[in-house]
Amino acid sequence: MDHSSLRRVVPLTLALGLVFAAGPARADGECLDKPNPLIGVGGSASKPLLGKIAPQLLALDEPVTLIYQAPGACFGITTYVDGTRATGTASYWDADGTEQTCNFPVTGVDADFGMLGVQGTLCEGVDAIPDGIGEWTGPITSWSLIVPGDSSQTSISAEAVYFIYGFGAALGQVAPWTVDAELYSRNATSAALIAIALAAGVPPTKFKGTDVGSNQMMISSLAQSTNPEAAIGFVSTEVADQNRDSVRTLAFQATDQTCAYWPDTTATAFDKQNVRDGHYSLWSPYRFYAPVDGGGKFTNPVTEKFVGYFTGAEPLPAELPLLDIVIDNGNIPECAMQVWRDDEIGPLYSRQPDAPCGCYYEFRATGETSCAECTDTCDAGGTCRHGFCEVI
Amino acid sequence: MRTHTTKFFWIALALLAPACGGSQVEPPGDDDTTGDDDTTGATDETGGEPCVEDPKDPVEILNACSDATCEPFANTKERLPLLKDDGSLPPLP
Repeated sequence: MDHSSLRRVVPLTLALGLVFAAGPARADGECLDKPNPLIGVGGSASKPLLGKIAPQLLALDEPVTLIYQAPGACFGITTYVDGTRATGTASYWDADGTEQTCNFPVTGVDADFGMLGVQGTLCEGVDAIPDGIGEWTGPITSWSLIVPGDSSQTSISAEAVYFIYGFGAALGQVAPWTVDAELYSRNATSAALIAIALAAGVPPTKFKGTDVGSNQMMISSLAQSTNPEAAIGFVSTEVADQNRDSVRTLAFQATDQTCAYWPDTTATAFDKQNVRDGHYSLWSPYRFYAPVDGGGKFTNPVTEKFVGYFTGAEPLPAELPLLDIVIDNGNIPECAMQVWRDDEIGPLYSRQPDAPCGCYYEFRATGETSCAECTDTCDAGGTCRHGFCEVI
Repeated sequence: MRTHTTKFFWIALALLAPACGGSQVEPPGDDDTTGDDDTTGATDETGGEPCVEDPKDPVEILNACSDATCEPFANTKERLPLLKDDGSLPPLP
């Protein structure tokens, strides 16, 4: 199905309008009336990052209004597969970063880009990325199995997740997570669910638990649990990190791993060392999807710039310190990764980025690094990047 | 498949046990001897778990020596009652 034909699928659009109508009922005007609107669709995990980028895009010489609807990660690709257009309300952010909502036309709009935390082909009904749609990778997000702050639990294994979410809490018999009402989950359009299901060997469509609908609702469901010891759920780690006052990430022990690790060196750190060096295996690069022409070139120049900022294809304007924004949000730029994988939650291998930024990442994320500072060159060897001596 | 990988996990643990220490396997004692492969008697700094000093393959990367805190989760029938007797996972209902 080509992209232009997708624009004609109005009845399905209307039928799914309520599904897409995420967010407050009162909306501030029409989305398409905003200056230079750039419309994205995908998962709720992306919202904190996009919310930090949006004000910077508004500050550009040619301001761009980033508009995002988060009905579920897989909608970031299925919109280009089944022709579902975005209707209802969406989020945008004003110049000071405050989230607002606006309305899409009742006939719907085509998304300029989709953004999700797993490969689009892992979504149900997506056998292949459609012709006319390009795929690019962005920063890394990790996934957290979380418990309420009042829980005494600190770790979990892939095998335990298999029983808890594959059988259900009561049938799975993994104490203390044996209460079905305290088993919080998402549906199979969630990137977090897909990634964790892959790690545990459970088909995403067979994942048990109550679908709470979004990362943000997962946090509030666990925070308000009346039985915190039995409660468990999952979100993207950056969302968990931003809510450490109410939830805690469990250390995760992958299949074939002898010890469970947190994303960070300790439960209270913010260095993501274990994601970056392969000890914490629940991570994925964000994927962007967008329409391209027969030559693989973006059909929308605004989308091209936006995605290009992430891939490095587009020079970053001074108003957009994207590396800092990514790190500050709790994501990991690819240049700070020491391992990589070719398949989602697949086998890891060591990889040196072409232009590593691990030293700067550590400094920015934690306020300290053992790397030498530099201005232009590194006398003891290495390459000066972002003010620190990297290995190459 | 899961059953096979889980079996591999327990086999790997059994192979690691003579050389590595930690709460999930027999401790190595004072001998931190390195064998012919990259799996050593080394333990991480906090968890006391067996670890690999020069990881090369995917499983070794997961179990590489690190200064990070870790906490073993015991995949035993006591903790996971539905585990099969051979340590493998039963099929999903």
